[in-house]
Amino acid sequence: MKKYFMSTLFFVGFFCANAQQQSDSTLTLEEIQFRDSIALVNSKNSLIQEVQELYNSGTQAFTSSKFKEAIVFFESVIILDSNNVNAYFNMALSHKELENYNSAISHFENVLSIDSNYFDAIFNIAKCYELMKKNKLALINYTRLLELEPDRVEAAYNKGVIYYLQKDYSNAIKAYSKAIEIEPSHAYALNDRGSCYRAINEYNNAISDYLEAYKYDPKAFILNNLASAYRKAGEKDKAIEYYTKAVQSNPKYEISYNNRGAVYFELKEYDLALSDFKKALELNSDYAKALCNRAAVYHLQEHYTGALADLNKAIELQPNNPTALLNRGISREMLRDVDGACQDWQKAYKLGIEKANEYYINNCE
Amino acid sequence: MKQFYTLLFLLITSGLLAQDIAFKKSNFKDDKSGFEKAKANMVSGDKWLDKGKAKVLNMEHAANDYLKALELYLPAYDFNPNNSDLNRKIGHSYLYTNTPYKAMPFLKKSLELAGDNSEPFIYFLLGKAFQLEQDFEKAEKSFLRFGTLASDKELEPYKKLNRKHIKESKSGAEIFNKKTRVWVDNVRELNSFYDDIAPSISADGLEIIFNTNKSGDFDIYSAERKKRKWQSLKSLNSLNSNGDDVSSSLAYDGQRMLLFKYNDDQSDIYESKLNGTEWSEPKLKMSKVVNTDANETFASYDPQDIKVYFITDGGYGGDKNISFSGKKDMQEKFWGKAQSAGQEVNSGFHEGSVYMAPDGKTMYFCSQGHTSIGGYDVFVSHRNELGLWDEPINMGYPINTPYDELYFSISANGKKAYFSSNRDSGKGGMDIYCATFWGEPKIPSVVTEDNLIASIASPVEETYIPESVEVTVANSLTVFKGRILDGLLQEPIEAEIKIFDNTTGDVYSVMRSNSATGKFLLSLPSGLNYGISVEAEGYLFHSENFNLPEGSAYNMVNKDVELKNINIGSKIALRNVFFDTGKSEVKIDSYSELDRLIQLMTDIPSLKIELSGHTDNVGDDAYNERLSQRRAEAVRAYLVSRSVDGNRITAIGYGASRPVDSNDTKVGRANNRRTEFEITDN
Repeated sequence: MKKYFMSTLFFVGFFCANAQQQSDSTLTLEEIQFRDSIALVNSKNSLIQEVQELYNSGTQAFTSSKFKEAIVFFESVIILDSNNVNAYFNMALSHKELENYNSAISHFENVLSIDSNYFDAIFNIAKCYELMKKNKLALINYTRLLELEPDRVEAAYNKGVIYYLQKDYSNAIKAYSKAIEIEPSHAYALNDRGSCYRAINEYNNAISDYLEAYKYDPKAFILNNLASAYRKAGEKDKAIEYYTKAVQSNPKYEISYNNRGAVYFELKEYDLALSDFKKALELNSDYAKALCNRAAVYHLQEHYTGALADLNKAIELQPNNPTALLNRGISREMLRDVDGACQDWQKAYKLGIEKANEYYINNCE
Repeated sequence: MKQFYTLLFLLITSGLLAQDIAFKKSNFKDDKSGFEKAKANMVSGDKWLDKGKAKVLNMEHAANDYLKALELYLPAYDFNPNNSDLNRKIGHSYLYTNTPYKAMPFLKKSLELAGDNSEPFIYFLLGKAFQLEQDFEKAEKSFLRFGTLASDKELEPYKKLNRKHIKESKSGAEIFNKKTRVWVDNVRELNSFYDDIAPSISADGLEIIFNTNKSGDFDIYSAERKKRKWQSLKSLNSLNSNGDDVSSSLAYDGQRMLLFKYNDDQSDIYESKLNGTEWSEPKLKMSKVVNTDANETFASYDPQDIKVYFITDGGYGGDKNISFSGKKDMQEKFWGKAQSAGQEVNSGFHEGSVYMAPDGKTMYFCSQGHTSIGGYDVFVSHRNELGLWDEPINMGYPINTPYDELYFSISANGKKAYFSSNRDSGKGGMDIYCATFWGEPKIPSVVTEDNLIASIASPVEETYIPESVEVTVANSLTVFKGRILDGLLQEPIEAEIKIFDNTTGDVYSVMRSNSATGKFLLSLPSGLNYGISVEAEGYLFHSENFNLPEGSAYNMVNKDVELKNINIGSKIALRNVFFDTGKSEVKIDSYSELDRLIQLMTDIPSLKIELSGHTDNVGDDAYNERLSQRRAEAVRAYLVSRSVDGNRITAIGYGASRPVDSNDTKVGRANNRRTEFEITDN
């Protein structure tokens, strides 16, 4: 680190010493030389101190999340020490925190132009592109980093995430596999690869990965994913077992209550389903999906007004929730609000639910 | 069963409180004319009642006869409401009108009044009333009780009907327990206080024709469906005559209709076509081969337009049954003889209407038989692969009730159907109802949620905290320079110089001053307190401390150190002590050097010196000796005058006897002319 603080100071000190030399003629030549050498050292030390203090003010501001302030400090450092790579890096990070991704990338590139082995800069460039949804550029940079630093597990993992979100499950599996190869106990990579297999209906592989992930990190969401994979595979008893483990792991994890309720619903165990949906709503009264699901049970129990109340709230929370709209149409029909039902089905169809169109054609036209 | 008898017991015992007042003169002595009139009404009413009964037993429509009976019974009831027979007869009459729900209070009262003496027939009537109230268990028990209590003679004509009603009650109990996925609504915008019957809709469900007798006779009306309501209600005047004109079926495209009209109390089927906005004059549909002397009434098109299905009482046994006829030529001049639709759909009782669904394979019809739960019910039958009609299925509650449901027609998409019923919820008489079928159950969807991406579900917080650097406090250096001098002679001395950091006591630096110049030069961090010690042989040790203030990059501090020579025997020439030639007064410019001597003697109080005067060899020796003595004493006097103790100073003139240089040169002679002092004690 210290070497970065010594880079530009000689020139400044030398210049000042020369200036002083010209103004003093009472000293011998040797004395002048000695004095100037001391003056040079003094200048250098003073600058180093100033730079270090500015840098530390920058880090302090960064740590306090005062990123704009941090940028000012790091810029000041760079004015005094134009090759201060850490100042560039931290300034870039500050821009990244402020979501000024283009500026951040530019400064990370400066870091690399000073020190091409500063791999964290490449990682952050990739991350910025990822945050900017410029997935292609993000992938290029993660790949570049992996070539330079093959064991950088985060790069492999992040590549997997980008591919997954692009629904390129084949490449996502490759990327996650690379992360797992680097770090076999990488629970997140195992979980995510399981999700890829789930997406391509390879439920056994998905279950296997989720189980492995669960071994290393028994978080509720991993148990929930495992349960959902069992559900998709038709093993509803197993699904219930793992949803139950998920809520035991995190009793406030409303998602698993809602999901277990859905399995009970599919098994026509409506009382158990209702109990789970109620529990999910007890944990999060604004949980639109659980509202939608509780309404489904109410509807089947012919408690249409209760269903409508839940669906109205769900739609208030998520006006474009197609399932809530579809279900509200169904409940409204049973409450003889045919116009309302038709409006809901029309909207649900526009949001992609084909069934809603069937209902509309058969009941509204 | 036990509960049923408990109910009867309650009815009977509560009846003990009321008295059955027979229509006897003796009971109405105070109102003989009223009695006579009531009695006459009873007798006349009985005649209509008997007619009605005969028709009922003959499975004919008897409402008009019973209405006439009621017109007579009700005034008699006003005169004497507590007659068991009259109450039974009024209840009986109501049961076969379009307001049968009015029967129950009269029948109950009759039972109350007569108690054990009640006619067994009351149980048949109560069975009908319970049936209408959808209390099928009590209804069945009542009919069974009637079968048990009635004499063979009394039971015989009702055997068939009683069996039928028992069956209806059983069907009712079963059908009412099944939920039918349909809503039934009274179509209030079409209905009147009168009979509104035989609604028929176009295939798209946007047009309807129906019939109402609000003008006295049945006339044909139409309406259009707009904004989910029937609007533009109008009488189809071109079709309506002075008598009954009854439409029965609208063609699927709405361009034709089948209707029936009466000629000499005998009805035939006609057809009218829509020309623009006007319906054409009805023409006999099918030939006289089909339209016989019997009554052909409610008819329906066949979707392929080859056949016409219709109701006729011209078949075997005189019951109203479903028949059909097919056309033999496209001009429809020739029609085949009517054929029964088959025993699968034609029961042993009346079929009231028929409607062929647009798919051509489904027949909706209304019947008093099959599994009716009372009165006419709507049934559906499907044509099987053999072309035969399958066993009819009761359309179930709430389409069917123990009342009459008739004239069922349905839209092409099967979503909506219309029919007429005299159930207890209408505006009066027969009303038109709309059945809205829910279709297959719409199962609401449930939604689930998973956190499939771990880093999104549980983000790993980026806890990057940039590291601070250790600040190198820049104690700027000060150039510290100076000279080490003989304190008296101001001559340079080579001395050892030690610099101490007074904060720590450590030696910071050791050096020697230049022997020729006495100079030293080093750099020291500014802003600290230092100690300096200087040692040189023959000189008093010197030490002091000093501060180097914070300064600029070019800070320079000069420090000269003067050492004191204190060795006994040391002779030091005072070269800067001056006299005028041949004189012994100390010149002013000698004072600074002499003052340093004074300072030395002040600093070291033990110091004793010998002051000596010296000349060159110019002139005689005595003169030089005296001159040098005077000059030595003059210097002594100056020192004494400056507070130096005279006992510490000896003054001696040596003349030219102690030269320090050659007297042959000018410079040598100048060096020999001098004042010296020698340390004699310290």
